[in-house]
Amino acid sequence: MKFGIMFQLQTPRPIDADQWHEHDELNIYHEALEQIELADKLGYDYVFITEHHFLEEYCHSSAPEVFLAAAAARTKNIRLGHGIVQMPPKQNHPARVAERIAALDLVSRGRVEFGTGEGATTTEIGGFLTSHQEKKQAWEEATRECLRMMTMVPYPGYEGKYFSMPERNVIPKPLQKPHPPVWVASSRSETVMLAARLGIGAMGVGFETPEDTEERVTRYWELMRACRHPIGAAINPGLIAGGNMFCAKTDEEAVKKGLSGAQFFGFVFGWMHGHTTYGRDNVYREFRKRADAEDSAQAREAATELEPEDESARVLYRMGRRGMFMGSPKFIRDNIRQYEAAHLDILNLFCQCGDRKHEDIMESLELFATEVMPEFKDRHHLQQKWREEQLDGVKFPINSSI
Amino acid sequence: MPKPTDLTDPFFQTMLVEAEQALDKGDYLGTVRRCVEVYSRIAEQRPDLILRPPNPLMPLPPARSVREVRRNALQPWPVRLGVGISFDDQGKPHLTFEKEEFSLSEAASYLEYTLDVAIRAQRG
Repeated sequence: MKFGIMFQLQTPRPIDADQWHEHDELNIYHEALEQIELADKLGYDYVFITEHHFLEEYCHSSAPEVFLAAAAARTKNIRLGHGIVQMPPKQNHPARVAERIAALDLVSRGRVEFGTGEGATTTEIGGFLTSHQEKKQAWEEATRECLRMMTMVPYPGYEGKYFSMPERNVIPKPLQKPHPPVWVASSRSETVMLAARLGIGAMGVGFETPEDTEERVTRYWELMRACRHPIGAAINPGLIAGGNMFCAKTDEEAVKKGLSGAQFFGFVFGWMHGHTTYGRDNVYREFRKRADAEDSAQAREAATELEPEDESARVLYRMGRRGMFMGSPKFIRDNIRQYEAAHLDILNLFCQCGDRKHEDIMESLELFATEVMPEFKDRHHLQQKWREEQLDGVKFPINSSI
Repeated sequence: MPKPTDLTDPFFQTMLVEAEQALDKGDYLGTVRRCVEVYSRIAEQRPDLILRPPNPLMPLPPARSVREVRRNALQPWPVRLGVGISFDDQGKPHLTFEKEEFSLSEAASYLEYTLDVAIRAQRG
C-alpha cells in the first residue's frame, strides 16, 4: 500500500472576528507547504490537493496548480496530485488544464497525478453557471479531449456540447508519456465502476470503510480488465480511499489533539451543502457554539454503529467522526491492515483540518511515517504482484505510479 | 460487487446483460431504458429498496470514539443524470426521462446503480 496526504487548506474564521485575520490564509498556505516538505522527507508517496471555489473556511484551495508548483520546488520524490481538477469547461477550459498539467509535470520532473472531477456543491459550480444536470457529461467530454490535447500533434480541434476549439498544438506536452496517470473523484460506487470502464483510477473521497473497499475491488478490476474504451491513451488502474488521520503516542492524545479538526471538517462540509450567506457566515464560531454546548451539557449518547442511509449524510457522518486513523500507531496500523487485505492501492489521509495546530500535524506526520507506514511499504511488493496478476492479458499501455 | 450474469431473476439478468451490451455498442439510451425498466420492476416488488432523493443533511452528531464498519449503503436513484423520479400519493416511484441523449458516463452510472439495487433485491 502507498500513502498520500490530502489537503483542502481549511481556514476557519477566527472566533473573535467576522473575517479572517490578515495572515490567516498566508499561514495556512505556508504551513501546508512545510507539511508537504516534511512528508516528502519522511517517505510519503503522494500529496493531493483539492480544487474548490467559494467554499469559505471549508477549502481555500482554489488554485491548486499554483500550490502544487510551489510544492514541486520544495520536494524531490513525493508525487503531486490534483485531487481534483474540476473539468467542466465553464470552470476550467480543457486546453488550459492540459497546459497546466503539462507545465507542472515539467517543473516537477514527471511527478504529476491528474485527478479529475465534476465539482459538487451548488455554491461552487453555480458560481460558474454549471448545472448539476450537465456536470457529469461535461466532465467526460472535457477530460477525454484534454487527454487528446496532451498527446496529439496537432490537436485537430473539436466541436462539442460543452466546448469547442479549432485546431491547435497544445503545448507544452507533459514529461510523463503519453500523459500523467489519470484519476476521477469517486464517492459513489457507480463512479468507481465507471472509472474502471474508462481505464482510470478511482479516487475515493467518501471516507470509505474496508468493507466498502472490499466490495468494490473485485468488480473494479473485472471491469478494468474488460475495458474497451479507455478515456486516455494509457490506463491507470488503482483505488484510493480517504480518511482523516491524526497519530499520537496514545489514543487519548490523538483524540484530544485531532478530533476537533475532524468534527469541524464534517460540520463545515454540511454547512456548505446548506444555505450559506457568502462573505458573512462564521462557520467556525457556529461549530464551537455547538461543540462547547455539548461538552458542557455532558450530552454523551451511547455509541452507535448505524450510519445514515443517505449518501451525503453518510459522508458527513463519517467525516466528522474519529474514524479509523485517529489514534496511537497500533490503533491505526490494525485498521490499515484491513484496507491492505482488501487490496487498496493508496490510502489518502486528511491531516490539516479545522483548528489542528501546525506543530501537532507535523508530529503526527512524523509518528505515522516512523511507526505505521514501514510494514505496509515493506509489503507493497505483494500488492504490486497482485496487481500484475489482475492485469494479465490487458493490452492497453499502463501508466501508473502504484 | 457482482455482475449482471450473477442475477438469478431471468428478467433482471436479461435486461442488465442487454444494458451492458448496449453500453459497449454505444447505445447509451438503450442502456438507460433497460435500467429504468429494471428499477421500476424492483420498485413494485421491493419498495423497501427505493429511497427518496437526498434528504436535508443531518446535523452533525456528537463525536464518538467508535469505529464504523458498514458496507456500501443503499443510495437513492441518481436524479441528476437525466432520469428524474417522483413519488405518487402511495409512495410509488415514477421515473421520467428528462432527455433522450446520454453520455457513456451517465449510462454506465445508471447501469452500475441499477445492478447494485438488483443484487440487493436478490439478497433479500
